[in-house]
Amino acid sequence: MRGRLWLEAVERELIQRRLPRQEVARLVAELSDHLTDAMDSRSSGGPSAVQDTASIDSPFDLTEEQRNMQKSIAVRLGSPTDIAETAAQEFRRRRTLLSRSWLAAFCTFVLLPLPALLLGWLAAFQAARLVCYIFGWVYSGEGPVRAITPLRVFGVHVLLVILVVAPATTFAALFGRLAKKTAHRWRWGLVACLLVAMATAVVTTTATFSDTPGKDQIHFSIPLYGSARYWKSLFWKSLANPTRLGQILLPFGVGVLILRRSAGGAIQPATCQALSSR
Amino acid sequence: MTRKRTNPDFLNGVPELLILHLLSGRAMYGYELVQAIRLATNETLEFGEGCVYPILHRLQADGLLASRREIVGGRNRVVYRITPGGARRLKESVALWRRVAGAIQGALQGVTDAGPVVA
Repeated sequence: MRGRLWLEAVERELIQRRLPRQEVARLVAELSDHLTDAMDSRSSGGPSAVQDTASIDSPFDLTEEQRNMQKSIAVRLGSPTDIAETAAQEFRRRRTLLSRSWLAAFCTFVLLPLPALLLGWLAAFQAARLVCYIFGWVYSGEGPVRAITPLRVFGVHVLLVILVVAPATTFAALFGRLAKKTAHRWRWGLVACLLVAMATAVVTTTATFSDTPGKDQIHFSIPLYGSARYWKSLFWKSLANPTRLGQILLPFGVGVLILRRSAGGAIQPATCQALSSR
Repeated sequence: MTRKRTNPDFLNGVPELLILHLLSGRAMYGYELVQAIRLATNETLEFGEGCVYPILHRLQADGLLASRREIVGGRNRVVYRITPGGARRLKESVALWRRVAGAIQGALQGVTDAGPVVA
């Protein structure tokens, strides 16, 4: 097969850049067609022939021929690295429904974060509960009662903070990544991260320990109602509390970090590294 | 092997413009399009030919081009054609290109009669 090595190299580079399998197959198929056309063009004495490529199928001095083939193809079609890099860039620049539709972006980055975050918290607390049951950390009415030690109290509080912050950080990262994929909508990603961070700031968790076995309680609350003044006051109070400040900064920081990494690619105009000028 | 230079940044967006322009004339398959670009630019711009396909795929994903497998010259090929959205984009891009080119031409000649260009 003509140019097989070159095509294999392109395929490897494309896979390394984690392009979808379907996209890789399509690109390789079209490059293969292109290569065949170039060969045919040479055979028929076309004006822009691939140099030294006709002998690729020759069994003699195959290594040298292969080397020449690689060089001549790389000159004309571009090196596998350049093509794969261009393909990766162009793939990132594709406009999806999110980047085309203002409404889709609004729904995804403004309306979706809070319900998604609530579900995330619900899932996290249920998972934690399940783990506690599995490992026997919940008093089942049998066996000795565990003493309330400062370490235990501290451990529970740390766990609660993790249960609040981990889903929020995950969602901030997910929305940041989604905004990265829909390059033109990175500002929407920033809005989503801000919403997630603010929601995390107003979450309240309390752990109440009781001397009566099985009566310990954990409360998780999110204020859903309230005047603008109430929300404002709650938000500023949150900023004054170091733990809550961490609850805001961690998800927001992670989200912004991902967006920042993507901003260069999002704002830059079209690139085509394999385009050259004489 | 001749080492090729990477294009300067100011050529960004040129392949897209050329592709849309040439496909606005008639539908073409990849190899045919590359040859058309060579001819149309009098080989002043030389593409790494393989880089055309990712751009074609992206333009198609953006709804600016449509493609279909067709038998051309006895072979099954992917033929690209411009969509109405692509034609609109082409019109905008050409207008922008003319303004930019005019502004640069003016600047090089020491004339500053061109209005501001917002890309």
